[in-house]
Amino acid sequence: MINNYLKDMTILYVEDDKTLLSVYSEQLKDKVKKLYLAENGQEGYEKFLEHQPDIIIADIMMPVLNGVAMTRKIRDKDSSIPIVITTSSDDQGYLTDTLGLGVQGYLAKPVNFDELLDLLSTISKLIQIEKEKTSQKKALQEQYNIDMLHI
Amino acid sequence: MSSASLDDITILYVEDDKSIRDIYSEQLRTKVKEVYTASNGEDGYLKFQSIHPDIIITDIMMPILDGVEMSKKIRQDDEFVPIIITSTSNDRQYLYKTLDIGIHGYMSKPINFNELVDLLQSVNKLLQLDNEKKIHEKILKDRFNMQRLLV
Repeated sequence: MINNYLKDMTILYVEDDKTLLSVYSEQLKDKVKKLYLAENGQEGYEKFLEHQPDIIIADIMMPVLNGVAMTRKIRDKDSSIPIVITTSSDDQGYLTDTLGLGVQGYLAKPVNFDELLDLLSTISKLIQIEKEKTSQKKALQEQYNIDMLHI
Repeated sequence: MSSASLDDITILYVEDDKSIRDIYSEQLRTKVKEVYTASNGEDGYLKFQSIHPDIIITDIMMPILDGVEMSKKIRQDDEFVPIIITSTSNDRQYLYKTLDIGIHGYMSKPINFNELVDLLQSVNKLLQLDNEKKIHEKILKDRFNMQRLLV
């Protein structure tokens, strides 16, 4: 189910197959606030540093730097940014290498676009919940702390 | 601060002064689903274990087991249940002992009931966000996990 939060998200999509990249980016770009594209893990990592997207979608097998290595490098810089992995059956051997890297979701290729939207919407909602929790906690801390009692 | 309806929550109110306990528990019953009361920290801890309330409101100075010790015992069992401390100016020296327990809010006695309701609504909003988070994390775990792709 698509929710309203997805349209506020910036997304980085990393895929070396130019046909797939153009097909999915064409469909995705209207559903999100901003879509950045990269054609390999190294470019993906650089765009992550430059744009600080809300969510990253990455293929596994890619030249220069593959999706697993890119995810590892990104995790060194950011422990919480949601990362989605797309994978074909040929990449399965690499899938378990992503264990412990905190990947939020896995999608089989060819990616079903509705499923991708479902996954991105769920992640967007979680990002929104975290934001609300942070502001709610901050408000509580400011309004109902010990200092308020003038010790 | 955003608020949330209190209709569905259960409260454990721990207060040794019977008049105060009766007044506020009566008023609280008009706002929440259920109010359980206890007259000291030991009784409060036992009721917490049997009832598992959504939110706990507790006085500090009480016979048998005071509010600080009760809160510490509760935290050993439950890291997350929100605890609200009410205190008079005479109890203030004990308040610093609650700093590491993870208290969601402090209220001066005599309690302003409207302020208490505001605080409960804010705390309840956090509980609702936690629930929503769990639901969405479960969706990711159930529908977009790695195992699904491993043949």
